[in-house]
This record gives sequence, C-alpha cells and structure tokens, in this order.
Amino acid sequence: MFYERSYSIIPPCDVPDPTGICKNGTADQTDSRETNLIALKELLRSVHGSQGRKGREPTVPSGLSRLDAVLPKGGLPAGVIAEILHQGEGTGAVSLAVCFARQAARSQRYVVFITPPTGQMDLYPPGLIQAGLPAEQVVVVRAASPQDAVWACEQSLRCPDIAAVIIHHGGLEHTDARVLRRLQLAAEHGGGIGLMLRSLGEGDFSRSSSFAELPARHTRTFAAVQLRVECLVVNAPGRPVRLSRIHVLKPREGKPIEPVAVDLSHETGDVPLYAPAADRSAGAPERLATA
Amino acid sequence: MPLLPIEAQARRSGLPPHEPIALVERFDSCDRVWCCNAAAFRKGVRAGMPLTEARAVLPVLTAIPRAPATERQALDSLAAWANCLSPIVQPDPPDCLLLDVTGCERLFRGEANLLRQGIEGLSAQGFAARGAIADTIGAAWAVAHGGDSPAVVPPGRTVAAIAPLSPWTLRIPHRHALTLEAVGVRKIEALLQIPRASIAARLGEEVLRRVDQALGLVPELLEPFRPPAAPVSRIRFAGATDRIEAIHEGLDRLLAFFCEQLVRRAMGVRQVLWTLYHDGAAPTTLEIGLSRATRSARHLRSLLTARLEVSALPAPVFAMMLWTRAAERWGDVQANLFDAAAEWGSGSREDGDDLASLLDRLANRLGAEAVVRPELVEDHQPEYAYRYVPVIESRKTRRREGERTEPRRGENHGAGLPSAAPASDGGEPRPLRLFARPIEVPAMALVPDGPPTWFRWGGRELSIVDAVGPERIETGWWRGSDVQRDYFAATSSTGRRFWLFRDRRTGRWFVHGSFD
Repeated sequence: MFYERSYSIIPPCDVPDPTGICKNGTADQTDSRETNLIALKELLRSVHGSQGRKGREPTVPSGLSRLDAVLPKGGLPAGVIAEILHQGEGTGAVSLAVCFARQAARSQRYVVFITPPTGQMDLYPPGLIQAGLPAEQVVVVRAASPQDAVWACEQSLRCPDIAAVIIHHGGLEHTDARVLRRLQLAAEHGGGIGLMLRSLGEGDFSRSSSFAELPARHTRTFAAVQLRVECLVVNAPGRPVRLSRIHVLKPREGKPIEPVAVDLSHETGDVPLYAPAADRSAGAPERLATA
Repeated sequence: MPLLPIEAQARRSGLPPHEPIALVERFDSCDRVWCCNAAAFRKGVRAGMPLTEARAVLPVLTAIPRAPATERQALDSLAAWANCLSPIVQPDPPDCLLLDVTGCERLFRGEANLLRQGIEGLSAQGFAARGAIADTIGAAWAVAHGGDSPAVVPPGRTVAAIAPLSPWTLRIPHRHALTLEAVGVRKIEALLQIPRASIAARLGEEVLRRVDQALGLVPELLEPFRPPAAPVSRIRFAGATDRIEAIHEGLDRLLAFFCEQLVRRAMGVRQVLWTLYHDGAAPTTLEIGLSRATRSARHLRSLLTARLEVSALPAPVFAMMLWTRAAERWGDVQANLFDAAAEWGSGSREDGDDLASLLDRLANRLGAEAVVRPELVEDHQPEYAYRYVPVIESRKTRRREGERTEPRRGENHGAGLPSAAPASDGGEPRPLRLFARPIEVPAMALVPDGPPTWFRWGGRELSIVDAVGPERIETGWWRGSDVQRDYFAATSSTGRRFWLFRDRRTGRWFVHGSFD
C-alpha cells in the first residue's frame, strides 16, 4: 500500500542533458554510442548521489573476512546508508552493525546509537565492549518520536566526528524515500556510515524461515545497500554452532552476491569446519575450527 | 606566600612539590633563577643565579619559565577564597594577599585565631604562607616578610614591631634598599633616625611615603577584589512584540553583548538562560546546556533559536534577558572525554561542525536525559553493571571521571565486596541488549541444575540446541535482595540466542537479554 504509492527514487527529470543523446543520433554510430554510454553512466552517477564524484571513496570493512571478501572494494562505501534486515530479537543483526561500527570507529571517531526512549530494552554496554566497541566512543540518543529520530540521525550523520550511526528505532522501520534520501545526503556530507536496522518481525517467519520466501513488499528498500541477516544452526564437532547467513543486496556495482555464512561471535567471523553441505556452497568454510 | 609563583606553576604542570624546582626568567640575555623551592635551596640554588650555574650545582633541577599570568590566576583564586576571612581582600602581586580584618576577629575568636586559620587554609591548598596582623598595611607586610610568622602586632606597638626589621620590608624600591644596605642602614630603627628631609633628598619621596604608610601617618586604602561577575545582558523592546523576526533581532543584539562580556572577562559558559518577559503573563525562561564551555555567539544562537522553536510563548514579549548560572574561566576549560575530538576537529573545521556542537544540539532539542553515553560500573549483578550518563552534565560527573583515571582493577569498590574481575572482562558472554527487568518465561531443563532445553518466547516454543553456562552469579545481598542466578547463553534451533537465567532460590526461569 504504502510502498506501492511511493516507490521511486528517480529524481525529477529536469536534469541537464550533457550527453546530447537526444540531438545527434546520426553521427558516427559506434563511436558516439560508446561515448554516449560513458556519458550516460556519468549522468546516472551524478543523479544517484555524489558517490561517483569523488571517485575513490574509502570503504568501511566489517572485519568479517568472509563478508568483506564479497563486498565490493571490501566493505561498505563511506557516506552510505545501509539497511540491515533481521528477524527480531536474538538474531545477530545488532552484532553485524557493531562489526561495521567498530571498524569505522578505529579512527578515534564516535558511534551514535539512535534508540527509542529507555523502557523495556536497553543497549547493554558490557556486551558492546565485548563486541569490541569501546564505551568511550559510544553515544546513545534516545528519540521519543520518529521525527526526532530522523532529525537526530541526520544531525549525527552530518557530523564528521561521527564514524557510524546505528539506527535501531522501531519508528524508522518504514521510512519513505524522501527521508532516506535526506539521510543519505547527510551521510555523504559527514562521511560516516548509517546502519539502519529493520525488523521483519517474527510473524513472517512462522511459516517460512528464509528471506527468499518472503513477499517482496517486506524487503523492498530505498537504501543503497541492503544486508539481510538470518541465523541458522549447524552441527560442528562437539557442539552446534550458531551462524548468521548474510545476503548482500543492492550493492552499488557488480553482479549479485552469493550469501555468506559467518560466525558473529567470532572476531573475524570465520566459520568452524564441518558445516553442512548447503552452507559450504554459500561460502565454503575452509578454516579449521580453533575453539 | 613567598613560594606562590613556584607552587602555582608546579601545580599547573603537575610536578611533585618536594622535588627541586626553579622558576627561570631572562635577564640581560641570560636565563636566571627567579625563585626556587626549599628542595632546590637546600642544595645551593639561589635566586639570581644563572641557570647554567644552578644546573652545575644541582643537575636534577627542574627549570620552568616564569609565567606571571599563572601566578596572577592563582593569586586571584586565593583572593576569592580569602573572602571567607574578610569581605575586603586585595591581591598584591606577585605573591601577597592583603586583608582588612577590622571587626572580623570576633567571628574567629581573636585575631591570632583568624591568622592561624588563614595560614592553615592556604597551606591546605598547597601554598606555604606567612602572615601578620598589624595596625597598618605597611607594618603587617613588613612583619609578614621579615619577622616571625604568624605574628599579631598589638595596637599601638607598630614601631616596636618593625624597628628590628630590614628596610626592604617597607616595600621600598629594590635599588633604594641596596643603597641603604650599602650605607649601613640595616634596620628600620636606623632608618627612622635619619632626618625626614634627608631621606626625601637622598632616596626620594617614595621611601618616605612607604615609611609613613607603615607608621600610619598617611592613609592607605585597600581596593577590594571582586571575582568577575557572570555576564548578563538585557534588552527592552519599544512595545510588546510577537514577531519572530524582532525576537531574533533582539537575540542577536543580546548575544553580541553577552559574548563580548564573556571575552572581556575571559570566561566561557556551560549554560545559558534566556528569559522573555510578557505582558500580563509570567516570564518564560528557556535554558540550554552545553557539553563544553563556549563563547561563540553563533553556536549559542543556533541552540537558542532551536529552543525557541519548540516552545510556545504565552503572550507578546516586551523585554528579554540573557544570563547564566554556569560560567567558568575560559583558560581552564575542563579536560573531558570529548576533548580529544575537539582537538582532532580543530583547525580547518568550521564552527559548529564538531562533536561538541552536535551533542549540544541533540541534547537541547531532545533533552539532556536523551543523549547519554555508557559507563561501566563494577558490579556483578548484570543490571547494575552499567549506567548511562548524560553528556551534558554538572561537573559532578566529570570529577568522578577524574577519579577513575586511577587503575582500579582488583580494588574493592562501591558496594565494598571483593570482585574477582569486572563483569565485562571478556570470558563469559554478554548480550548486546538487556531487558530492563528480567522477563519470566516457562522453560524446562532436563536435570534440575542443568541447562534449559526449551522455553517459550513470544508465543512460540523455542527448543534449545546449545546452552553455554552456567555462569553463577550470587550477589546483591547488601542491597536487600539476595540474587542467586545461573546464567545460560542459549541458542535455539532456529539460531536465535538469548540470555536466560534460573533463579536458584525459586527455580523459575527468566530471559534477561538477547544476543542481537
């Protein structure tokens, strides 16, 4: 309903026409086609934001070797909003966001968490520290309303001292394109990354346990990058191991990416040996278990 | 306070006071010792010595260049403190405080007591002091510098008290003191025997004036020291207005004046109050807090206007006032958590773009309680092992931080219980999110003390395939509620992981957090 109405990130068509495609179709056919193609790409890039303008923007790796290997340029581009879809509590989505944040915060910059006002559930600092994020570099912003959350998020993203903004706010789970575009521009200005957590709710998983079987409207997004986390349990020798399978969707460039399985409780995310065959195909575990 | 310059410097640079320290000043293209502390003096360092010579005498000597501004600052703060002894205090640079204690002795049960309290108070702050009370400023100065300390000269005994002292204690210029010394006038009584006309002719009116001041023949006034007052600025409109442009215009003028006062008084503010007076309604006061002292009109303006946007004014405004309750000296902006970022961001960064301004903006719109940072607390009970402190806070928090810089591993803190290791010290897994209150769930374990095998969560039954634990936590009896829990990090068959515990007294199960 909502998405059908406003699913469009194509900006108005009043952009100038530097290519001249419309006018000179008769000139040297092959040559002009090629230059036209390049110019068109340029145009697209300028329309879709300024990422292309700088050329080589730095990337923020996750530190999870397997995930970084499949991400273009080994991480998320700086100045981007990434959406992390998950299935509710206890599924490891915050851990994934913290992985990116702790790498981004290495430069002595700060990480902002946007959360609802404290109530039932609170970020647990000892857990954050265990996950490798120093408490001194964390600021938590408790926003009561979605408007406040968006505002706080935009302000934080615009600040160059902020390395990452993790948005874990129920009110922002169904933001529209306009809001996301604003946040995207703010992130480009500040150069940090925004990680927006979105719960798909458990209800949708009562029948199907995989994203693939979800109706498309749940997974549609306006973010530049979408990561989907689903967790599974595999039998390793000794004890079962909980893994997170990460699907990378909508990367900026390149081909579709195969999902990878990582162990989020491990620093580099490497998976112990003897995962079932299905997961081996999804990013085969070569490394011997050490723990 | 003969050693004030050196004590103030040593304190500022954090040097231990018992090590030999000398303040150095440049005279005639040569670094000379300006003054030195007792440790250096004992080893043979003297004021006036060239630094190279002092180094030859004492190689471990720490030499600090003299900084009159630091001395003056220390003296001013001591003068402010000395207001507890007398309402009239005058700092007499470089190292002296003059107090008019007329009538104050009654409050201290006698002058001797007052003097003793003053000297003890100063030494408690780290400044060795000498003191004297006499009829005149000159006499008190002379006795404090040249006589025994502490000394109370009884009324009418001034001449007798200063007679045996050296003439330089009369505050006469140094070269005249040398002249007197050279002609054999070593005591004030000898000086007093010289005819007045002759003193005036040979040494100048200045010496004569000092002698007369000491003897009380000419009056000398103290100029009371007033600590710089907090800035305030007011504006009154020609008529009551409700136009936002007029209010903004007025605010600009208020801020220009306010910040000018801040600059002139070398102050910065941590809090600003903006009072708007209405016709026929109680005045509105808007308050903003800052994470770091500032005096930037632009930054304050953006915060104040944002604050105005979200508040409703009951009636048109006819006057406005800008004031503060938290002004502090600009030089000693307290080092705090975010200073690293401030330095990092200084330079090319435009004003208002750094972390401190961001936090100010956030906290002033969302409320101070909404912008917080985590702090660990050494406590074994998981829900007490952390706390969130607002980024905009009174100095209380910051002082607490200062204490924390000391290593405190393994110490007994807070509750006074032995702590083997802080709760966050790796090892046992900790969830990323914690429920404010543990939530009771139906759960089952195969053996009474064993890990859970299933539990019900969100209307669904989760069977547990892996449980790390138990981590036994027994604590909190001094809080009145004894806590005995066995924690498990339990992974369900679908891969979700929760932090469960069994209350060992009742055997019931609770979910306390999730490994999100």
